[in-house]
Amino acid sequence: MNRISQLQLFAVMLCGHAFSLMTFFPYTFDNPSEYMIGVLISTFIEIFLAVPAVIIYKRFEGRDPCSLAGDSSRALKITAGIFYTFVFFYFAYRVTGNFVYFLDSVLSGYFPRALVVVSVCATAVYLGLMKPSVIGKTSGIMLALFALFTVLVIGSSFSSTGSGFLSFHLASENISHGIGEAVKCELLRNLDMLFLLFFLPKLKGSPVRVSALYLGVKLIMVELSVGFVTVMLGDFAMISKLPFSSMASYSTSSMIERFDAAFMAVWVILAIVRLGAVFHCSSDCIQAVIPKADRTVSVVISAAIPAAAAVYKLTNYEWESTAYDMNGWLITVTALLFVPLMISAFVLLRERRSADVRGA
Amino acid sequence: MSEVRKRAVRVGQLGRKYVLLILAAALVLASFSDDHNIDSRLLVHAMGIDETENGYNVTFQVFRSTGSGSDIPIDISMSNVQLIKVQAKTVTEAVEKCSSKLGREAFLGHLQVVCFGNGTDYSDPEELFSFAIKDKSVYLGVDICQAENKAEDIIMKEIKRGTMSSENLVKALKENSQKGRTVECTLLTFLSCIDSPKYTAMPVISISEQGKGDNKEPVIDITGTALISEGKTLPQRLNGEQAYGLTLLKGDAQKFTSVIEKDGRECDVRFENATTKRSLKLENGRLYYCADIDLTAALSLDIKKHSGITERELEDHISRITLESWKLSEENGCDAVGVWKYLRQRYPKLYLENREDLTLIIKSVSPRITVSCEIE
Repeated sequence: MNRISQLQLFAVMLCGHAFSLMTFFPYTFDNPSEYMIGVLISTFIEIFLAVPAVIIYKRFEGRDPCSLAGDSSRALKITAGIFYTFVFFYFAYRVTGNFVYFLDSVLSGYFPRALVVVSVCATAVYLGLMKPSVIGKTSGIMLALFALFTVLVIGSSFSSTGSGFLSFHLASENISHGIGEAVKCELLRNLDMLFLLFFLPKLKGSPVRVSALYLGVKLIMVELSVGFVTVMLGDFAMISKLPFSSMASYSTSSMIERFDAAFMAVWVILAIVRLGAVFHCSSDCIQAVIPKADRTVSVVISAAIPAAAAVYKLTNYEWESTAYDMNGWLITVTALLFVPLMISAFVLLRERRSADVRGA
Repeated sequence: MSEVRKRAVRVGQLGRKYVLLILAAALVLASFSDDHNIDSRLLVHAMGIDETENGYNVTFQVFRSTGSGSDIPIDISMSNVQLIKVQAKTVTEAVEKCSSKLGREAFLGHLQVVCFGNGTDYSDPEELFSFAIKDKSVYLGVDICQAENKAEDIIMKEIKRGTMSSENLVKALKENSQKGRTVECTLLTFLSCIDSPKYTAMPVISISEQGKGDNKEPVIDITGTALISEGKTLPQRLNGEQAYGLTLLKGDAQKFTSVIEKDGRECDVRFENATTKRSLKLENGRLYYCADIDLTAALSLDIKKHSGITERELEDHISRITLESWKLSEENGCDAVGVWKYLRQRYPKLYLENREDLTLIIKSVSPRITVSCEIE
């Protein structure tokens, strides 16, 4: 079986989050300080979300939740497979829709949205059919490019920040509500932790290091990025679509101030990498439900159904409410914490019963 | 390799070929979209926006190459612009009308300067700049300025120096802001405060004809710095020195050459390397804006030897111009210095209590300015 290294999996997960970060900032809160505090709190919560992956790795030799559920019963395996398939469909639906919607805001309706969906999904399907290590290596390259461009823009813009640090404040009518909303937003934008569960069987080594690295680097990345974008753009950071490409305008270098195109290129490929990883994992879930399903067909179905749903909403110009709707955070918590723990509990119960029967 | 495995590899390879075919087909089909070659675009370089009773009069400077032969596509002795004037209810509608008039789609990615007419209402920047917010191709560093009277008078003037007419406007604005004669105001200056109180300062520009007879040429002049408070332009303006004082108070001052009178002689002094430590303090129920300004002054050797200007005199000069700048802006309700941001950060409760009427509290803030000047 082709395996993915810890660093590669870390790159896959972080690329996904970098895409969300570059796309927009959720404006369910009054000011960026609330969002930054919310991100810090949500990172602590996400430590608990990584626990089931660690338990499965230590106790059950690193299986994914669907195949682990099969140890309990076939019905549980199918149920788990269907549940996670829909979670990945939701994940792919959001990423595809956000990509097309925000791309449209840059290249204002020059081409049909449906065809953008087909193009990006077809490319991501191709990536999804590759081995996990290929997805990992592609993510590593894109992460390096993202880091390079971000450092270049921040480095060349730092001297012109001036009084931008005054944009950090806690002058809000209801700070706790704002922070609560920020926690929910960040949890929803963190569905990438699902890759930890589904690449587990193919992972070389322990998921502890991957999750620790991911959570630590993600926290720093988000806080620094939100911080700099806020310093440079002020209020505009919250309403700007693709704030990273706007950040380049603050640069003191005439070359870097038009780096928005470079950011767009990185953003597009980050979307493809994220979708490719989603389709790869989703096809595993479909094959858990229908074992005889062909790999290629599973990956294409993983792409086609969310894409069709996204196209429907996009062509009816209803996507904006979906993009800014952050109520799906419960899906993240359920899929990462409750369901894997439940499956583990069922498997342990079955093992105990079998042991009792053998003992008897 | 077993038969099953061989079959699986073949299916995988075929599957990838199908996916590549779909991708190629999608890319080809995606080309069946609106054609937007450069020939079918209007490259807008400058806009003038004048508010009227019925909406806006918007003047566009659009690039049009005026080549003087097949070897010279652009003749730099000409202005290379086409001027279009449009009336509409909103600026976005004006952009659409401009496209319709010339039969080509307006492309704002090359927009360099936007000039507003005197008396424009800036209280709703989201509506005023919706043409820029919605169009991601608009560069956020576009220079914003105000005309002495009508923006149309500025934009309609064709200046034949440089490759394009609008270049001259941009150069004049940048040169004057770098020399401290005015402040820099860009699109981002407005958008970064879109949900916040509307206070800003912007350069005021005019164009006059200078020269004799047929050799008259339009010359750009920065006549002052306008102060905007809650979207309205104040009647008071800052002159060159006062604009430098404002930049010192804001902490983003660059170089500035001032003329100081000493014993009946006019002496040039160049101020540079200015740093300002700023804070807002609440003492005994009163707010104080504290600015500690450090800068160096360069005098020419002869003047230094003969004029006897002291560092104390230079410090007094700087204190005077900063206080004048404060009086004209803050005490008249234009918080161009940005005191409200300090209030929001340091005293959030006080800010929230007075959010609806910040201008009143801004006017009550007293300055505490200390200047330390070192002669090079």
